[in-house]
Amino acid sequence: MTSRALGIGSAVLMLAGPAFAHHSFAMFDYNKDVTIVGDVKELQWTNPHIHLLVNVPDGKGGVNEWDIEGGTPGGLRRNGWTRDILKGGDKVSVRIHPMKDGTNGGQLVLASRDGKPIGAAATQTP
Amino acid sequence: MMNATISGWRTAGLAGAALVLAFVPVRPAFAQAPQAAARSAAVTTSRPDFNGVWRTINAPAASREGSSLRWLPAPGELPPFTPEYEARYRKVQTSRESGSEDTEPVTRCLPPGMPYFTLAQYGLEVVQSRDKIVFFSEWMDAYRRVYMDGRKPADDLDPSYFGYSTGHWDGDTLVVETVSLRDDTVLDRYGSPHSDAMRITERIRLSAPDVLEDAITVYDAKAFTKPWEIVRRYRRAARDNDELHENTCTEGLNRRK
Repeated sequence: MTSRALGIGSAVLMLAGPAFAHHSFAMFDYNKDVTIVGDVKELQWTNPHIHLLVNVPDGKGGVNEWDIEGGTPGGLRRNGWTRDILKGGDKVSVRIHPMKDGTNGGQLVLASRDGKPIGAAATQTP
Repeated sequence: MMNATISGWRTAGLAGAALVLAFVPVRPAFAQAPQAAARSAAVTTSRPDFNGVWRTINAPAASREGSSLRWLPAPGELPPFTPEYEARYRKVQTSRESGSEDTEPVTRCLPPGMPYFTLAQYGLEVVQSRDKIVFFSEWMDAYRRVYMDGRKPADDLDPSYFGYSTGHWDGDTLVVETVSLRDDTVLDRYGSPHSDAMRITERIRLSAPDVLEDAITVYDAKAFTKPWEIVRRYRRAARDNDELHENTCTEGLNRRK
């Protein structure tokens, strides 16, 4: 587990077990859809799953960073994504299945920019 | 602004087949009459051609009724567990409900093993020669090879994720026997457990010119009350969608966090 400060007075605990290449699917709560709105910090186009980092305003002048895990780069390419389809600063609305432990993250369901969905589907299923 | 709303659930998503015939003339027996010899010579051993990329077409939909889990099995989808392994399966579900990743070895970049490899909804590529057939999955860059040259598994094989597979042709059906499988893999996306007694027989054929069918029978006398049977079908990938992408799991270990 690592911690980092994001913005003034805003610290976010990110669950990131170093042994894990990606979040376990068990960590996400598939009973819940949550929509977050914020600015893209970075699209990490990496195997086995992409990660979309989004800075979400905390209402106190700072931001919280959300770590959204998506599908495989290969699967997403087939669904119309590319490695540079989202850039830092893009304003996005992202539907996710949130982390069960309440940390700022989740599994990508659908990302939208200017009301338009990015790609055809976000995830691939084993 | 963050808009956190609990809004419900969501459930997730031909080219012509060139039948390549390998003509192997059958040598007539010495004492055969000329007529019979002529008939024998005309007999050829043609084999179906499985080469190419295939995509799953009959995998079960993600079912998730009132559960926080990503998947719940449809009725009849699970192996026929003995009471002991049914109890193990329930422990897996409880663990996953809690958010634990302990029952998801693939999360730690361990290979999926069998038959999970075959059940996954990723592209499958077949590279076929007379003496060996190799199945590549896009999932985890995993692959398994099937020896077709008549060799047999050694008695002292080390158990492995994909085991040791030998195959032979039964007419147009490829019959694959897989032994020496590890006991610490999960069978499917539900985390189904199994024992060290597991072995697998597959009957693979073209059920239609562009449809590859794998009828899988999983034997496990310790964990199942009877053999577990599953059928997966794949359609030949279209020309513009016939490449597997790299899916190197360990790349994620270097991800900036």
